[in-house]
Amino acid sequence: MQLFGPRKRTVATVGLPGHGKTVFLAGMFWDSFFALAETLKDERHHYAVRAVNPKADDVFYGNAKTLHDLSLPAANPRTGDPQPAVLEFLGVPSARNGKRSRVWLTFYDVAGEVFTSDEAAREDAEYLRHADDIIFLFDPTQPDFSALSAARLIDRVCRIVPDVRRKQFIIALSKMDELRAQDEWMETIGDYWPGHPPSSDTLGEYFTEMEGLSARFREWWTFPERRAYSFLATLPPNTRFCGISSLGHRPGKDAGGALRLSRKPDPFRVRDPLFWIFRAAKVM
Amino acid sequence: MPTLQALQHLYSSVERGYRPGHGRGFQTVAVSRELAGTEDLKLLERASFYAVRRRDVAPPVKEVYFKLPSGRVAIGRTVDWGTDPLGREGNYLAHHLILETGDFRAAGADAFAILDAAQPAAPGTDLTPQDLLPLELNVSPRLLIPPDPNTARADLLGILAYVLPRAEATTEVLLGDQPALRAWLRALFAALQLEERERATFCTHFYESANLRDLFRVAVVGSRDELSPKLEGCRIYDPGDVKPSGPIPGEPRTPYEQWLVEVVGKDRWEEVPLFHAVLSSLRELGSAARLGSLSPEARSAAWALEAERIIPAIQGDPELVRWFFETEEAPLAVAAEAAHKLLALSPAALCGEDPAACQETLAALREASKPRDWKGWLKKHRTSPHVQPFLSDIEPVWEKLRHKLPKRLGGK
Repeated sequence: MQLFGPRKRTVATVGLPGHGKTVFLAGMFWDSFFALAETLKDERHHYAVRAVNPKADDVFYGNAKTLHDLSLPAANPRTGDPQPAVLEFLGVPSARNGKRSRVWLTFYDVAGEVFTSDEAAREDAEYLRHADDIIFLFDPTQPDFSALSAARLIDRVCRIVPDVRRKQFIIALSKMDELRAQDEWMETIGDYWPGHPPSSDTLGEYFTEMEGLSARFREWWTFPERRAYSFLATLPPNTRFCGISSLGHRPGKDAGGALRLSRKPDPFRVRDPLFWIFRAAKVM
Repeated sequence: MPTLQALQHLYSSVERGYRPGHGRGFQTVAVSRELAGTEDLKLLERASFYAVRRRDVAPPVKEVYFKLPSGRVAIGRTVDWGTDPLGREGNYLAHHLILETGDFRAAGADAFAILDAAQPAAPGTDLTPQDLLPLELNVSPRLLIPPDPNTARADLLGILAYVLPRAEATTEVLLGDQPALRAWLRALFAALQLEERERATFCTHFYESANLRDLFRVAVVGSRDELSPKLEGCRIYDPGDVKPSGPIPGEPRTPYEQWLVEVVGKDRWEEVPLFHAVLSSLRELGSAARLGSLSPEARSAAWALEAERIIPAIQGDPELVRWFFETEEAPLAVAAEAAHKLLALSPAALCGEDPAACQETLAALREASKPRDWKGWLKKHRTSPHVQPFLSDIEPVWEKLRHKLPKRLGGK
């Protein structure tokens, strides 16, 4: 731990191809840049996010520009040389004493293909070994999603990451905008939709919601359709569960088959994984 | 025009690829059956990586040439391929052609010519998972298209020109406009000799590819922002710098390296075809035809490369021998060495049977030779009619003085 300067953590996003890793990072940046920067400011303090290195500029501002143009971020190809994209979050408020801190988060966004085999993951996701927080993203609307495929992916990561109990696992279900229409989700999501970003005064309440949602999303894995008890039993004890919508609505396809947004993104609870990371870093 | 058979490999993001169990995403879509399950295929998949920065409005075309574990060579092109099966932009298609080394040599080891002939990754490429049949290629002789001198730092690339033929393991990383640098590379490769071209593996779009550096002798990146810290130890050619950073290239060591610097740095590309024609003529026919048409630097380069072949090629031809000694001004040491070797021959073998026709040649030879070599040669062949006019060079001093005395005093 550094005595001076910002806290630093390394964050890895993990998921199968097309499960929304890149869009999640884009939505998270969008939410911090627009929504949280507005609601977490007060007379004396501001919350802000900025790109620390060229890769972060390219990934985060580049993707934000893409979303602004109502397009979706491009697919990530597999690389053996993933580059760190470092964001600095300034004025992160503490729910306990109101103190503001800054934190540097180093993100790695790689292709989902990297996680389709142990060999590929060892070759191209070496950074996983050093990650403090690993966000697993699952899109239950994808045909390759199941409790089995999810457990298989997490087992694979556990095989290449030493001492997973020292890491924070965050299991996030994406596409809440589509899933909330399904019966089983109405109860959980309906109360929170469309969601409001917290202010520094309401952070405590927001954390209570996050903890409640984490418990309920954990329970979701035990529903009869999934019965993923074994999956849950192997996760580290401090695993967090979230439900997010990185865009807030479902994109359509244009005449050329490319995904297009019908309006500007309005992410739903995409900040929850970020807040879990801030809390683990003891800055929020 | 050689006809070649090339194995093929296609890689893209698809719903279903060559291996049914793989699922959706970037993967091998189709491949020649001979490559399935091989280490070559693993490397082809790794090398298929293609990333662009979000700010790249027009995605660059990536062209590569590299060696495979089996000893075969791969030549490929990767292009933007629109959307993936999910509708996300950023899909790409990598199309590799795989050749046996012998076939590649038969095509002049010219990867650019093969890319011209095959036009890989063309629009409309069939991405059905399948075993691909070998592709038949008619490769045209390489063409040298001089690059626009205003599109890059010619002096900096002049350093690349003499460093590249050396058998070094360093990757030379060029920064700048990628299409322009591709044109420079193509021209420079045309100036190299076959075995040097064969060693000169390259990648014309090297963004986020530092893990592949061992595959490429030359790599092009758009700007310093795109450089990975993992490229430490590479030689970086940044147009904003006076010299390349990284390992010190040293000075050109040979007349051939000096000539390459002249060609690239001073826009003398027109010399390249003639230079190679002369080299081919020497190597394949043992003929020194058109040697005299080369610039002094190119002649020196040709001599330095093919000294052993030039001597037999010019011997017996008084004109060529004379040309050699009269015009070979730049490499004095080379000329002296040549003279030394030529003086091992008899006058007739050196200049032909006609003594009258070779006097100017022998005069030139006398100028270029070390005095001791020349005199030794004259003594050895003093009875030859060719050398009679030069025998005064080996007369004793008193004999020479006698020549100068009037006859009435005993002079000749």
